[in-house]
Amino acid sequence: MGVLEIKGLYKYYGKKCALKNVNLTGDFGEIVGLFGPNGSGKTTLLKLIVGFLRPSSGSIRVDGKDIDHNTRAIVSFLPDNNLLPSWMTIKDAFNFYKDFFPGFEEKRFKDLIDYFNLSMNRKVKELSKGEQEKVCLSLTISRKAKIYLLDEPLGGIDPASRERILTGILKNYREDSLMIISTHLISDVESIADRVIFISQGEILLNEKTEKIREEKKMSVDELFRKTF
Amino acid sequence: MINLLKYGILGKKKYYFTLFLSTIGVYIILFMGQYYFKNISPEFAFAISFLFMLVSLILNIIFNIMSLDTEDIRYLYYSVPINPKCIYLRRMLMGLFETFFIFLLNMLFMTMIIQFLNPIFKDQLINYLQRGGIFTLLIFVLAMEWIIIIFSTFVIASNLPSEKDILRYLLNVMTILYLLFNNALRSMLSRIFPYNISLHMPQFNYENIVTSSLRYNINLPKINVNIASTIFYILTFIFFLVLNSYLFEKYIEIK
Repeated sequence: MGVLEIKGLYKYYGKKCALKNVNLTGDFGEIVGLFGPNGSGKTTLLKLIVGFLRPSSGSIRVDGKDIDHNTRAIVSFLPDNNLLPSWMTIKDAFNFYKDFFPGFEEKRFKDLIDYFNLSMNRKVKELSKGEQEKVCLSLTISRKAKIYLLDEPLGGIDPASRERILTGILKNYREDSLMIISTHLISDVESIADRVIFISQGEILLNEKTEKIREEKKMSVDELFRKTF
Repeated sequence: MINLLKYGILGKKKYYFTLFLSTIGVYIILFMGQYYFKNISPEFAFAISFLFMLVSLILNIIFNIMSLDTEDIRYLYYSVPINPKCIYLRRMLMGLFETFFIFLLNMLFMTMIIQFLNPIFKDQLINYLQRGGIFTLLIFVLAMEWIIIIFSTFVIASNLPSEKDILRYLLNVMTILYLLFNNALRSMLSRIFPYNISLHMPQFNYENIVTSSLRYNINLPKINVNIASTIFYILTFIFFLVLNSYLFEKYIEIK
């Protein structure tokens, strides 16, 4: 049994079907790349796993439990836009996470903030989009969780900083957790993904080990993605 | 809940500061007006103070309902592993505290300025409060909280998933109907169950106070309260609070 189990998942927005019959499992020690074009259902899937959205039908189990507010203690989610209110400083955000999330690692967070050359006293509203993403990423991966869901962690980040962020993610990845990274910047992420999922129009088109794809198809994941879509 | 309240208050530091400064500003203007022109009547000062307090209370209601939509039903608070109904109850509690804060702040300055204009006012006010006026004022504060709770239903309805369109429609219709007809319903109940209780609560008649004299109108007679209509009021208050907490916990989606 995996730490994440999704069975027969459907999600409708009105009459539009955003996810169709999604079946997935995820295990500890895996980094999964969730790739798909815009509007394919990546963010919807992640929001369903964290419990921000409710499934229209089907089931999601996290660590053997149905999704509710308690499972948020073991699912750490990085949304694709800034999650922090503008009144906060980085220190306020740090205190907020420390107060609400048991096992939040202060040292890890401070190291990451140093690594990204940020200062604890800066206000969120004074940060650039890229800097806000770095703060949110630092908060997300400093939590002690069983599942990490990163939605477009490289969106809005310049190419030079992307490598720095990916290194930051890898350095802080926990072996006893599952990490799902959703992005359309495949070439940047495919090097760290153990498994790859292609999603299009709410359906899973491919769910395969990265190595197997490279061996069998004789092409990179990025090339396969371009060929598929 | 304590941590939720802590970050709720921290997030509104600037708001409280602005509110405090603008309240002081209004009363300083009144003091200055009396100092230079010497023709401000206690009734005029009371009218201005009361209007300012009403504006502050209405703005507070609007800000709390907006915060529910722009801060509470958002990623950060929904990522926290606590029952989402606590997030809603936190906002309602903050609304209540803030209403009390605005009310007490204005009453303090109002008493100071009217006392300055008419030295017998303090004794009259104390007498008013001792005769049960304190309960009249408490009910006024609770009525403000009632407005926040009722109007938050619209925000909650707008954040329900698309599968719950019928529920959203029913919630909106029910709340509008209640707002339109709750007075009629209460008077109907009063007619069907004409049982009154005298709580010795003096009335608070703003219109009389500003058009007539403060001294006369602060000594208004006690009012009778209809039991059935009061029970209806309390039950709907509880009903909307429980309903909104339940919807917050079970159905809200962060889109």
